[in-house]
Amino acid sequence: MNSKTKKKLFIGIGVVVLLLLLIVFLLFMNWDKIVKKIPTLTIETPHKISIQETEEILLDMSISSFGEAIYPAASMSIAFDSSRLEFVGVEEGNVFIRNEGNDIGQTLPEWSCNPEQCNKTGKINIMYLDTTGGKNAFSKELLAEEDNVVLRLRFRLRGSVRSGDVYDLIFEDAVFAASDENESLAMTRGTLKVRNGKIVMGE
Amino acid sequence: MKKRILSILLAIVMVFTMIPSTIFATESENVYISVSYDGQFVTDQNGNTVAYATVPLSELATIDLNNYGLSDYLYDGDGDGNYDITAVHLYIYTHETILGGDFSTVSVSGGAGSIFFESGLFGFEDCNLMYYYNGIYPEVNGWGVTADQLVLQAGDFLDVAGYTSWAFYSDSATGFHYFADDEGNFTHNYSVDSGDELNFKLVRSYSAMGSEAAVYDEAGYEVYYGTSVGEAAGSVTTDSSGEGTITFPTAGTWYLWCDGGYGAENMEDIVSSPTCAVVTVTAQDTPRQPQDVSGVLNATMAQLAATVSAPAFGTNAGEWTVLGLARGEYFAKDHAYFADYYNRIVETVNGTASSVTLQNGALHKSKSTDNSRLIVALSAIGKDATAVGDWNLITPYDDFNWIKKQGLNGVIWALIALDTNDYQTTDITIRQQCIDHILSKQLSDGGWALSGTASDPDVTAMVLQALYPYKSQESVATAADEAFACLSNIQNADGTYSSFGDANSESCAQVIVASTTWGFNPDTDRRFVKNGKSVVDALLTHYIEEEAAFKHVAAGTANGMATDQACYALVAYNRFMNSKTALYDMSDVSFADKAEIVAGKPKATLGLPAEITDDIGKTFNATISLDQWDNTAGYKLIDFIMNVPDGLSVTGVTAGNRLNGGTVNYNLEADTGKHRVVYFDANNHSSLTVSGNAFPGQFFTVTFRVDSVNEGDKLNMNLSGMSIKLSSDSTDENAMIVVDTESATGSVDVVKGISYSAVCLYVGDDIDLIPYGKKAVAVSVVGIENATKLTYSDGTNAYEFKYSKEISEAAGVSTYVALVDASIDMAQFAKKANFTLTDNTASEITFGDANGDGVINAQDALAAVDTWLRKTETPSDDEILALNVNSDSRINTFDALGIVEAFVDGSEYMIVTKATTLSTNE
Repeated sequence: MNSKTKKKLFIGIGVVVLLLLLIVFLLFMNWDKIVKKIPTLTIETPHKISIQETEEILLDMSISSFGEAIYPAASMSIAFDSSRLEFVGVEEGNVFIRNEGNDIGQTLPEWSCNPEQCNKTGKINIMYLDTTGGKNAFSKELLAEEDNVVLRLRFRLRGSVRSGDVYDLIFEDAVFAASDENESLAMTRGTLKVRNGKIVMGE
Repeated sequence: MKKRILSILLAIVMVFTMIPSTIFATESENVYISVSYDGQFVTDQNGNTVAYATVPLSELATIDLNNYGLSDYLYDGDGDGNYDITAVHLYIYTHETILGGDFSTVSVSGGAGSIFFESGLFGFEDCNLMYYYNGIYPEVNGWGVTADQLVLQAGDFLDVAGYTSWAFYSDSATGFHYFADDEGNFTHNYSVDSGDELNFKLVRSYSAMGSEAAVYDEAGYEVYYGTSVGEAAGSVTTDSSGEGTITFPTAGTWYLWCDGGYGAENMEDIVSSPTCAVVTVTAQDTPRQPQDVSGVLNATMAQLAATVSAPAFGTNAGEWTVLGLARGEYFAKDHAYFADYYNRIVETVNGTASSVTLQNGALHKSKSTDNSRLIVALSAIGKDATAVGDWNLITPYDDFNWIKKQGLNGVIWALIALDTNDYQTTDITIRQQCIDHILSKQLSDGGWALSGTASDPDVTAMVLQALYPYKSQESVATAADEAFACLSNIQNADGTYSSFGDANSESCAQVIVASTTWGFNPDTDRRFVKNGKSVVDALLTHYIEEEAAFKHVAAGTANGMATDQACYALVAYNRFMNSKTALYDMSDVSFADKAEIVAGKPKATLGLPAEITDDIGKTFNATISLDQWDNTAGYKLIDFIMNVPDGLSVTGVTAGNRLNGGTVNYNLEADTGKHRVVYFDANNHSSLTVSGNAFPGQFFTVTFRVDSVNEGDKLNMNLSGMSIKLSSDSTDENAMIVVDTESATGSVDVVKGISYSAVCLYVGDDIDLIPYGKKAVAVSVVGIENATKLTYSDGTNAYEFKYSKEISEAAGVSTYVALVDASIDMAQFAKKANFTLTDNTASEITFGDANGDGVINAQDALAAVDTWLRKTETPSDDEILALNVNSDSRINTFDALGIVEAFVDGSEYMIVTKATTLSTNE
């Protein structure tokens, strides 16, 4: 290989390396945005809970963002170990829905949930349905910059809990439904990410 | 110069002397003449009949009798120096100008005041003629007036009738015919609107010198009509009063005429004259066709049903909503919607009536309309107002003072309420007191108002609604006529009605109800149409399509009361259009099931497959459902005994998804076939609860195994006893509720091989998205593997059935569903020849899974809402099957709520319960 050829080789390698660096740089700069584009529904895992805890345990379920659509309905199905945890019910979060009927134009959604049934089946089924088809819907205008708690799950520990155990709260399904299903945020369609929660038992 | 002036004056005088020395007349002044011979009008030189031919007086004024050698008959009756126009002028004109004759051939004799036409006049050969002037023989001071002194004035008409026979002088049937107007005056002109009936009257006038004029009704006489006299398009015969009616087929100028008639004594001789009238038939706008409001009505009812999900006692979201939905047949009378309402009413009535000092069933000490409004709603849902909870709501109506304490409104509604179910008061005069009171309050303009002297459309219309059952009373009928005229008069130019200064929907609604109550179409009856806008049009201008609701005033927003009243007004109109009883005529409502839901005990039903195979080891299910449950009662235990035939064994009993708090224990006593089941919490003795509110609900599923049965066997099963217990204290009669198991019976046919049975799940009613022509059918197939592909073809129709895992698991038999043509006989779906089974796996239907993604969640519930709101396209057959989870005839928000309840409460869908409990081929 003569010097001229070597020179060409170096230039070629240099160009390739520069291109790779550029690609890596662009990916790095935009990765966060790419990841954040898909709204995520998260069951926030609390700190380790003492097995002696007798008070209710609240787990926030938060949403990272909404899309451009409005969502007149939402539901979640969450599996849990009902032999260890007693699901007590749902508490309101801080994410509003539209409400054209009141002066402030927003209200908190009323979630339908049947704790007795949930404990019987080991699955928490929660649903919100706006029967007006959109006047009382979720929308991104009503989200705060951060800490958007859709609802809170209330549990009590059963006597069967044991120190060191981890009780998973696993999303089996979740959806914020838009009238145009293509605009829905749905776990089944990959347009809604979920992060399961867990209750970790301490001493 | 003087000579020139004189010559000019002479010229002027010469010109004036050329003007006939008779009279001046204006061109617009006419007289009329008819000429007939032997009962037929003669024809002029152009072939037209001379029937009241128009002759301008100005034309007659040009006739100088001097030129006809008739100067002896010049007549100046008023002595003003001018000769008058007389009948002689008219005869000359008619003879020459109209008939084209030569008057010089007419033989005239007699002196002034007694002119006599011997022959030749009008071509008549003789002097056998009669003439009537303005309908009678002309005479002065008992002497006949001859033509030369019969002075004509504008508008006069002269009839000249010639006869072959001289019998016309003596026969009792002689005379001149004329048509008469409503007041009995002779007329030659009628007018009528096209499409309307013309009422006419034919008379015969007779008078002669020295005799008193008489007018006779010409009964049984043939009257012809056509577009030219003599060319009849039809005829009618007059009635005993000489009257008749004709509806002319087209607008334009028509003629009405009759021929002269034969004598009474001289039956072969014509002795009377013909007559004729011109009928002006005015074209009307294209007649209104009554409009179909069912689309708006159905949307409004659906909206009300969804938004007023729990109607209760009150003017808003209460009785008026129930009235509209019940009379609109949106729900069946036994629907839970009404049952729940009634339950709430019983509670309210028990609480309210006991708090009113009257203690007689009055719900308010002075507002009788509280009772009346409730009675109307209860009647609409078939509930007896004499036994609502602990009270009889009719009792207070014995006190007329209580009724009228609320003024006219109270009296009106008392009548309406009492008549909804023919409720009887002890004081039988109450109704008449109400009627008399109402009539005494009628205003001079024909209507009624709660105050003031100007009629209010709402009050007037409500009075009409109340008085209809008493229309046979003459005073009521008269008042009603005046009231409808009043309503017509006070209708606004745009078809609306105003009350308290505002054109509003409620007033329109009340007028529609009143009109339909009395059998008048408010959309086409001219009394309720102004400038082409009917009161129905006016009501619909208040409709907000996007909200399926009505506004109070056009500029307003949706209003609950406006929507309620518009809803039941459209119901009234729709019932009228479909020939059903009026809104408040509830004679079509069955009152047999009064108070059963509340007073009755829980009722159990048993669901069984229609058929099973005789294959040993095969299993099937029986489902036990209850129609109610009270979670607040603290029930501790349910038990029941099921009679099981030989050849079956029980492999399991499971409690329904919604039943909580206990565990199942059971035992089949082989010797007796008694299968005992008990459900309770043996350890903690906790109360039993049921999730959700939808009933009937499946409480238990019993799985049977076929041990030894034979083809053709009929396996009868029933619940012989079922109870719900509160405690173990058997001495406490309140500790146990005995469930009604009378209907919990059924049978299963044992077949060999593959067999089909079918039930109809629902039929579309075209109200909410499910078309009239379609029905959902569930076909159960025994002797096959689950989910084998099933297709139907009867040579005309072909369907691929969807496998329903839910129904199949509930029944223990493979069951398929499809939406099919509603006209197909259900028996066709039990014919083996109509089905083909293939080895392929059938596609499945999952109730509630609207988008078919295998997951039931909020997306599906929203789909039901959006479908009902028509935000999405018309659902496909598969989508209808998936969405109509409550198995009624419609897809609406009840299905959305059904999906929510199934998701949250674990409730089974109504359609599954229905499929397992309906009898075969229902």
